[in-house]
Amino acid sequence: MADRMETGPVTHGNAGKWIWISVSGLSLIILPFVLEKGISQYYLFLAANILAWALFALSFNLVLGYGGMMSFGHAAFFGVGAYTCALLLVKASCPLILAFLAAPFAAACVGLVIGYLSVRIKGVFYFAVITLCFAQLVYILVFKWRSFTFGDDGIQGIPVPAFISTDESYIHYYFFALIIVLICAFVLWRIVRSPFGMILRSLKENPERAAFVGVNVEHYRLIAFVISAFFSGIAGVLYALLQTSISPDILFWTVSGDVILMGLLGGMTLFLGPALGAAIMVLLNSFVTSYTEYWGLCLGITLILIVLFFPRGIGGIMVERYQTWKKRKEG
Amino acid sequence: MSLDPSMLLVQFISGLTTAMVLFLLASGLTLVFGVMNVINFAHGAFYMLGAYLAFTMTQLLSGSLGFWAALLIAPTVVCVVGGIVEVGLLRRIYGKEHLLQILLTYALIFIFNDLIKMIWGVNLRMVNMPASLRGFVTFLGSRFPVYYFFILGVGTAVAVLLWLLLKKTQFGKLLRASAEHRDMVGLLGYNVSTVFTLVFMMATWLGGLAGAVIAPTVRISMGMGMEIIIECFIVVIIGGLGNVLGALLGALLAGEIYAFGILLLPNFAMAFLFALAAVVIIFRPYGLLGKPAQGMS
Amino acid sequence: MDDRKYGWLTTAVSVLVFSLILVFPTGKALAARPIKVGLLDCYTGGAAAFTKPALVAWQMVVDEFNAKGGLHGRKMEIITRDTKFKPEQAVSDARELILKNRVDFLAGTISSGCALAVSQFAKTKKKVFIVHIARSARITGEKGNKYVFRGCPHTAIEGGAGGAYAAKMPYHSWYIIGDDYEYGHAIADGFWKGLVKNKPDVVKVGEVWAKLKETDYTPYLTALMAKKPDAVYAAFGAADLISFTRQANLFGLYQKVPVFEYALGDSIFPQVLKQNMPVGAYGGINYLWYYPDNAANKAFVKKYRELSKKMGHEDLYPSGLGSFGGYCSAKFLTEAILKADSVKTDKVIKALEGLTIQTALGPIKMRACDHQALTPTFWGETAKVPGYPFPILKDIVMTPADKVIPSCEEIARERKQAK
Repeated sequence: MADRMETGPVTHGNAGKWIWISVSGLSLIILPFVLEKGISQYYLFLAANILAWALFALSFNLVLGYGGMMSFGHAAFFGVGAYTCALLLVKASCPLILAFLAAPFAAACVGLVIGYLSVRIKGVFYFAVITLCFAQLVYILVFKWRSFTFGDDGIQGIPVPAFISTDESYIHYYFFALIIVLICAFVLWRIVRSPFGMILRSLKENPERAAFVGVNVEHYRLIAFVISAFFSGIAGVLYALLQTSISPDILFWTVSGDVILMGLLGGMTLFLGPALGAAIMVLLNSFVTSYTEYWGLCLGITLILIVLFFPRGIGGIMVERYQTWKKRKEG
Repeated sequence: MSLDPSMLLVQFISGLTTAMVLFLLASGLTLVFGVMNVINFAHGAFYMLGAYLAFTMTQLLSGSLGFWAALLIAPTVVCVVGGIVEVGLLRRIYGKEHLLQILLTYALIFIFNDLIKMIWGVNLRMVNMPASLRGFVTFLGSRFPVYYFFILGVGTAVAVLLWLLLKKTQFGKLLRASAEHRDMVGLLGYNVSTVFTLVFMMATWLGGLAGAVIAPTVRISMGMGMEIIIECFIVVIIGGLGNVLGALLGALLAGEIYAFGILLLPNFAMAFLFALAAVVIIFRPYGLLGKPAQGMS
Repeated sequence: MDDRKYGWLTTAVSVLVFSLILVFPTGKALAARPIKVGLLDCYTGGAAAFTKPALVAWQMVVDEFNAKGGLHGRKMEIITRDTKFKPEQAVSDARELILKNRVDFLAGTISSGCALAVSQFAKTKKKVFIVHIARSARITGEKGNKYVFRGCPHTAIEGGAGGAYAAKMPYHSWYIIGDDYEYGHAIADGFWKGLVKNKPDVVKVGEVWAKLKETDYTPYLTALMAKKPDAVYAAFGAADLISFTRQANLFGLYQKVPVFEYALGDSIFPQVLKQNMPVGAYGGINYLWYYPDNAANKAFVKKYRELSKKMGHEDLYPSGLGSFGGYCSAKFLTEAILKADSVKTDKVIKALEGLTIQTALGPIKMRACDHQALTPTFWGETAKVPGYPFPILKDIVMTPADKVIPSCEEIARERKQAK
């Protein structure tokens, strides 16, 4: 099944595009004030949480949606990013800028090692299970190495610098995260549209042909993997700074599963799809868990419905609807 | 730590029993992959269901009768549930992308976990061993729980039966053939759907049996399925997806490495398993006895 | 698109069915601005055996508080959240409870990891957090802060009392076996310190740490026996204690060597272990439903039993880890609110410091310097005593907290070092 990758909603000429951008931009800026002052700080927290997960999901999609690799071990990069930043802040009293920069590089290194050992595996299932096992290894290392990582107690009270501290208000953090996520998303967008991105997509659709033409399949996949790990690490940092407390649980393989589900929910063929999926997951989780303890049942059923009937995700449906509407307008 | 021979022997046998349970699970998992080209992420959930069912059986029928009934009934019920899942859900995704297949079985984990929570509640459950299997025996100067030998017995019996099935029966030959060439089932004129359902039911039967067998020795609780599935995957990776003998080999290696890992570096015994998997992947990416997946995507 | 229409229909039906499932347990009639306590705990798995009794005890105290008119007519209400033993989940729940549900106080948890995480969070949000089961000494020690209080003992108190108790016996060489996580190590350390302090000539011939939720302890037991220690100390968290004790009993460990097991004296264990409950082992705990055998204790047990039955978690034998810890913590909170005549955080903190409550075990004081309740500990030998449904402790020794608890100066030093 050759999925055509949607690289964004296609609008009527430049005017439509700019209107769309301005409206979204304005909403994103007004949102935190409306939420925190108007409703409750809690919903702004959710929005900030969505930002971190959206970045994670977007970076993961480079590997899954664009690269065609079902990695079940991305929690390792997210977690390594979070832990690197947290440990540097807590143990070495590093300035934020250093911790912030070190984290994605650490995540990328782990990505390099795991990626190198995994990308030559052919077969979706093998790849999934192998990446899962590598990620679990990272989990165990962090869990057991108590003297270095505090083990299962986790790291509490991460010293977040005052300008983004969430003690009083989430507004400052929100804007910080928003800027970071927008920059990273833009970079990812450029990567996806670059020649590299094109080749990556062709590898997903027909690896044999690409190899035939002389493209080093594993090489490209590895690069995609490392880039994805890098940005996942940044997402991890955002998460750590928001939660101010992390534990080895963020490295557990079900977190890898969560980010895949976000991609599925939102639509893997759409660039912003996973971000939408992240928003849906976080909001749905918050909503459902305040009424019932059976979140798993709700999530599981939702996913089965999506897998069986809406495999292109909610984002995919929206795009389809939009295109049908456009055709009807034209025709 | 002084390497007392009796301690080594106990470790070795302990490792064997772990291996047997892992084999029961991994063989099912690998068989399903070999024949149906599906990785059942929810395999651990069937194992957990088997354990909970064993608990219920021992509650309904007191004493040893409850346990023996559990051994018979629990796997059967699990197998039926497996059949329902296969016919109701899995069948709809066979033609679809592997990605979607994985996600479907992954979603099943959530559903199973919550259904089990709804039915049995969140408290810890315990199953008592039948009187005949309690206690310890002294063998070659060391004390072993009698139950160890029971597990070994069950595991060996299943291994032998599986071997006979695969090598000597028509059905088994069919399974082996389709592990080599997936289209074989249809080409030979068999009803693919029926074969798939039977294989899945067989795998879940094995999973349910593993759960029932291990029930008296563990705390039956919500996280069981999630924990065991990782070890299962490692065993299957080491042995090679689709290869039952590989699953046996992988299970033996995993069981023993873990058992002796505890002696050497108890904190990192689990990591040894992963390290072994990593080593195998580096040198033989498709497992010790595996072959590159068919119909690569 | 037939498949697609079918998909929408199925989705609609699922949403409908699911909404019905959701609607059923609702129905929270909120009275006029109640005092809300957010109780975070792990109600899943092994922990539930302790956290549910704790909840019953909380309800007991809250009912008493409300029956007496509450605070100028304002009644107290408990909102629970299941942390699933995960610190991040606990913080997430705490955040939701504070920001969304606007609770006035936080309470919980059984997990020390969760307690530490929530304690940090409560500090930033300036809410009182009263710990009711978690045992890590760090919670009120080096990681303590202005907002966290604890109504139950910690590992240094109980371990220290155990060590002092064991020091009276002629066991010279010791083997330690436990759960490989912070809690296991902490209770082992506390015990060892207490033992060495009172009997300096003891020697450790070995120690082994099993992974959490280990399924097969036989190899560890074999390794242990090979060292031929005089006595063994088992340092396990509650759930693993059950597995370990069961297997060790079958192994015959308790016939071979005296075993000291932290928390074995609690009422939950003989009920869960049944015929696997060992006799002749030594156990400790912070509360015994049968000792002291006086009117106050009897009344407490009776009231507790009635309420537990009413709440659907019938529990005949209140536990120390669960019920009593919950009771004391709840009592501290409600008494402090009454004393402060307010629910404002700063006023309640001031009222809590130095507060003494009356319990079935007599008066218990909340120490001001570290916000730790000075709870007594009991150690004894498990035995079958006629008239009791399961093995209980005999030859009980009660150790008051101030004999074994680190001094205020030590705590102050620890906290300064931790910075």
